[in-house]
Parts: sequence; C-alpha cells; structure tokens
Amino acid sequence: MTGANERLRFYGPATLLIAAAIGVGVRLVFLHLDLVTSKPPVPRYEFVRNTQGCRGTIFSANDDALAQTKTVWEYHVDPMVAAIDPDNPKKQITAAKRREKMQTVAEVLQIPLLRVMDAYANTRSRFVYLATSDDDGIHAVLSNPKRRLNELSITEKQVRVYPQGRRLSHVLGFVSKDPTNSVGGAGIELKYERWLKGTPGTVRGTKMATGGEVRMRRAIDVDAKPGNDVYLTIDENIQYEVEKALSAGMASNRAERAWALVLSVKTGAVLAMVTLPGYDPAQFNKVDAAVRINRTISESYEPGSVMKTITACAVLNEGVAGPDTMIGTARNDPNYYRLPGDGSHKWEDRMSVREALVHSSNIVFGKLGVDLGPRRLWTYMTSMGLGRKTGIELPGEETGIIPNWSSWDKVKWSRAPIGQGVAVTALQLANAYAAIGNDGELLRPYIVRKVVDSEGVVLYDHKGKEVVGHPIRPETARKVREMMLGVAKRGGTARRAAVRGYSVAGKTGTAQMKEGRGYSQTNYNASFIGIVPATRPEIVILVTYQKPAYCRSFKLSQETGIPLYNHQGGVCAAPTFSRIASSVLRYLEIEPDIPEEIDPELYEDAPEGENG
Amino acid sequence: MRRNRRVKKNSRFTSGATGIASLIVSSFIMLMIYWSLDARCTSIMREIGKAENTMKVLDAEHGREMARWNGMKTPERLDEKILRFGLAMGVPRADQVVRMMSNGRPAPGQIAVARAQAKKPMENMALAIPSKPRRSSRR
Repeated sequence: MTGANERLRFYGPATLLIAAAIGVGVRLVFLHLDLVTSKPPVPRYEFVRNTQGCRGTIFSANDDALAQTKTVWEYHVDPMVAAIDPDNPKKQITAAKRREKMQTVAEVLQIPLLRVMDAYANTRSRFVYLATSDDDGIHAVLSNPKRRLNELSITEKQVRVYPQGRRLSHVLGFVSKDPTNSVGGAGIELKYERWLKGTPGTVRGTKMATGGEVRMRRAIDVDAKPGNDVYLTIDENIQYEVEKALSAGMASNRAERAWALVLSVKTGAVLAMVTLPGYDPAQFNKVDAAVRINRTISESYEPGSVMKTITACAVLNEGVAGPDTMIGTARNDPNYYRLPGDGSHKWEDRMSVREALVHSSNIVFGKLGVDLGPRRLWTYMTSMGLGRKTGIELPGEETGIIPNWSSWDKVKWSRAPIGQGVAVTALQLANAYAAIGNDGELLRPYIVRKVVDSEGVVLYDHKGKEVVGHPIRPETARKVREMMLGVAKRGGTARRAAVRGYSVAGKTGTAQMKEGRGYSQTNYNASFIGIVPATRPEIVILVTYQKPAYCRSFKLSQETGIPLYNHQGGVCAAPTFSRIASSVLRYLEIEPDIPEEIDPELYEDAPEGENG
Repeated sequence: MRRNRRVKKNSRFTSGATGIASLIVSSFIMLMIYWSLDARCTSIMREIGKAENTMKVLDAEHGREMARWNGMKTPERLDEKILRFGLAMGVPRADQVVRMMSNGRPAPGQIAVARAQAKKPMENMALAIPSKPRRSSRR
C-alpha cells in the first residue's frame, strides 16, 4: 500500500507537468506556424499605418533644386493642459511658472511673446497653432521631456518649398496646401502631377499587449515610394539675369506687365521664361489669378511689326521680291486697297525691302503682303508655327488666332503682314525667329529634358532637337538675318539693342492693344526680338512690355521723366534686350563675332577676314 | 549456502522515475531555450523598429538640409554676397577666359590663347601671356 501511495504521489504531478509541457509545446507550434483558425473577436492588436510618398523634386539645367519637399514641425498648444502644473497634475499651475513656460516657448520658436500668451489664453480650442519650423535644434529643445512642456503637441508634416522664391513661379506652378494629398495646381507641378506624386505605402501588422509591434507578424509591408524627379532646361542663372533686367525695365518704363524668353536656336530648349509681375508659389492663394498666368504661352496678342520678319521670309522664299527690290512708298497707291499708314515718317519715293525692314515701313510691307497674297502669307505664318500650339510641356498654352486666309477681307491682306488682325503667343514668335536663326529649320521648343525615378532610372529623356519642318530655305533665312542686322545699327529702329562685340539680327514691334472694336491710342505692346550672334546664331531673346507709359510730347517727357516715345519697342524693349543678351552671351561663353568692337587695338594689325 | 540478496521493493518504480525526471528536466531546458530565443527575437524586432525610425528621421533631416543649401546658393544670394564684399565681379566674355589643364598648360582650342600666340609666338609650351598691344604709329 505504501508503495502504491508513493507511486501515485510521484506519477500524478509528473503526469500533469508533462501534459502541461506538451500542451504548451503544441500551442507554441500552432502559434509560430500560424495554424490558428479562429481569429480573436476584436482585433485590437492589429494596426494599419499609411505612409505618404515624398513628392519628386524639380531640377534646373544645372541640376539645382527648384522645387522640393521637406519635413517640418508644426507646434500647437493645448491651453487646458497648459493650465495644469506638470509636477502636480491635481493642481493649477502658478502664474510665475506659466509665464516662464511661455517665455521659453517664445524664445525658442522666435515668435513674439504676445502671440504665445494669446495662444495659451485661447480656451475655445484645445489645439491652438503657434508656429512652423524646420529647425532640428528647436525641435530637440521643445520635445525634450525634461522641459515638461506637456501642453505642446508637435506634428510632423511635409511642405513644398521653392528655394528660388518668386523666380520661375509661372514655370514651376504651385501645389495645394493639403499635407496628406498635395496636388499640383499650375505649371510643371500640374503638368507632371502623375510623375511627381509619390506612391503611398501601407503597413499592416500586429502589436503586443505592451504596445510594441510583433515584427514577424507583419501582414502587409509596402514601402512608400518617392515621386519621380523632373529635370528642366531652364538655367536659373540666365533666368535671374533676365528677371533682373526685365524688372528694372518694367520699373523705368512703368509698364503694367512684361515677359521675356530665351530660346536655344540649335535645340529649341527654353533657357529662361519670365513673366512679371511674379508671385511666391508658396503663397499662391494670396494673389489674383490674373497674376498667375504665364504670359509667354497663355497670352495671345497682336505682335505688330515683329511680324514683318515673317512676311519678309515669305516674300524672299517665294521670290516675290529680293532684299534690294525697290518698292514705292506712296500710301495712296491705286493698285492697293487701303494701305496702312507710316505715321509722320517721310520716306523717299521708293525704298528697298531691306530698308523697309530696318525702318519698319507699314506701307511697303502692306504692299508686299498684298503682292504675296493671303493664301501664301497664311501658309508661311502657320508653317512657321504661328497660330499653332508649340506643344511645350506646360499647361494653359494658347493657340493664337490666325484666321484662315479665305476669311480675310481686303483690309486684312495689308494688315496681317504688319502684325495687325492676327494674334500669337510670345513662344510662337520666339520659335519662329529661332527657325530663321536655324537656317530655316523649325524645332519644337521644350522645357523638360528628362524624368528620373527615385532609384536613378531614366524614365524619359528628350535627347536633342525635334524637327517640326523646314518652312523656308537656308539661303532665305541667311538673307533675312542679314537684312535684320540693320535694325540694331544707326538708322534702324533699335540702335539701343546693339550688343558690343556681337552682331544682332532683330526686329522691333509696337502694337496697339485692342480696345472695344478698335485700337487704343495709348496702350501698346512694345517688343523686341533678336537673334544673337547673327553670323552664327545661338540664342533668340524676346522681350515684351505691355502698356508701357505713353509719351509722345517732349514737354510731357520733361515733366514726367518718361522717355519720349517710351511706348515703342525700340525705346522700351530694345535696351532690355541688349542688357539680357550681353549677360547671357558671356554666361554661355559664346565668342564675340565682332571682337574688334571690344578691343580695337588688339585687332589693328589683324589680317582681313580673321574675325569675320 | 544461498546468499541472501536484498531486493529493492521498488526497483521498477525507481527506473521509471528517472525517465520521467529526465523528461521533465529536458522539457524545462527546452523551455529555457525557447524563452531565450524569443527574447532575442523581441530584441531584434525592437532594433529593427528603431532603425526604421532612425532612417525616417535621417531622411527628413537630409531633405531639410538640402532645402537649406539650395536656398543658400541661389543667384540672388550669391550676388548679394559679392556686392556685400565690394567685389563687383561680372561674368567674363568667352575671349577673356583661359582654361588650364592639370599639367599647367592651357586647354587646346581656346580663342584667347590663339590670339595671344598670334601676337607673340610662344617660346615654350607654357602659357604665353599676351603683351600689351603696341599703339600704331599711323594715328
């Protein structure tokens, strides 16, 4: 009997222990191999976390960031928590301690103490905004538990920043301010929204009772993917020079608006694109919508006399006349119907086509347009890209207005050649002039050179020029350039467009703006477009001032300080062109083609033709 | 003579007990091993979590630094600094630029060097600094 009791006392607990061990072991196997079939009734230990992919960066031609996303901290205060003593939660904080806290917050965040005091006293809300900062030092101080600033809540959020400030605002555009779902609203941010937007990530896992995650039980683990980066052709240094010159010109000419373009003749790349007044993309909602329009592509306007170059191309290419063909300057020529006037200019009885371009004679070009015929003129205009979208990678591009030639009345036959009754955009004009500089080859202008993903894989590469057509022959282009040389010389309409050391092939334009059913007598679009250097073209620069201050009388000029004939392209836009061209040619290291203008002594004994 | 042998009454019991005790001890040891592995897994889990957070923080810091740096080197800022120190610097013309190679010689094909050489032939391969042009006597 005694032996049986002993056996029972031993085997009993031992059996229980072994059974328990086996039970625990089986359960562990089930848990580790995830063989549990029934789920807990309330999945309180499961969590889902969504992460936002960072928006892609926009780079310039020099690979400098023009628009990027960064993480900042927003600081809010809970006034109710601020009223409690952090050392003794059951007591109210003393006035001295409260003041000390507010002073600390104000000093660290570098905001006025009064603003902090107002926030702490705002008992209507439990989440009062204080400031936003990207400073790591400030974050380290305010999030330090030893500071006992329990009333502060610090939220991390992503913001879009534009290091260049107001520059390039019309090209880059802006994004909406919703931190969880920012969307491009204009410019490249809008056009390339699909490329720039990051892909969100998801994490779905299980937490332990203590709060830590059971890493091996992650069911879904998809990393957020940053957006792709967009590389532009815009050079921020050229953009800066253009903006500086245009800004100064706008102030001195008292123009309402201005825009400028710099295009590469050989490739069609847009090196600078400026519209003034500009705006801060980070504050886009505080400016009028009219200010946010990119006028270089979204404003169709009557170009005026800059159209005469296109007419000259058509006339020479068709053989209607040559550069030295003499044309009568009489307005009341019975062979022509209601020719435009040339103002108070008194010409000789006849002048050559070359002289007509240099002096910008409306009568001669009106006659040439009629002789050419509306069909041919319209064909040349459209084949040189006018009245057609260029296809540039920006939203909001206008087509312009070049009505079909069959709808032209007889007055328009002589008005269209001088740029009246038709409307084009600045980019179309600059691109047409670039074709003249490129020996008649019309290219598609572009502003995006490549798109690269976050791992460096090139998703899109522009790879050089894209030829649209050959509207004029190379010799025609060369002849027209040679004719245009006289515009920036003595006797031409734009002596002020000259650039020392470089030949300039340009044209002025002074176009009345539409007013009601007629034209305004005081509001003009004053332009100058030039190809430099004319002998071996590299760039085209277009400058336009809209509504420069009007001044036709010497007395008014003396009284107001506004230059006489300020509204004209040669007075208003040409000097800005010269300033821009001079800096851009140096920056691009384009050699002078008239070096003897720069240093005559060095070339005194130079053999003839060395520098031609 | 028959030797008296003492036979243990519970000998079978004893050998059974040893086996069971071994089983219990080995279960205990396995439990300890499991517990230590689990603790190690939990520790690695925490390290991964920390590393993920650190990476997130560093990424954000990198973004902020890049933004700060890009804001510092805008053309406006550079101009401002140049003016502040009274340097009055401008961009040179193409024919005023001479690029040198690491061997101390000018890079080939430069117009400024070619013009200097045309005026004064080089005696050696070092860069010939152009002399001041002589004024013509035909004035």
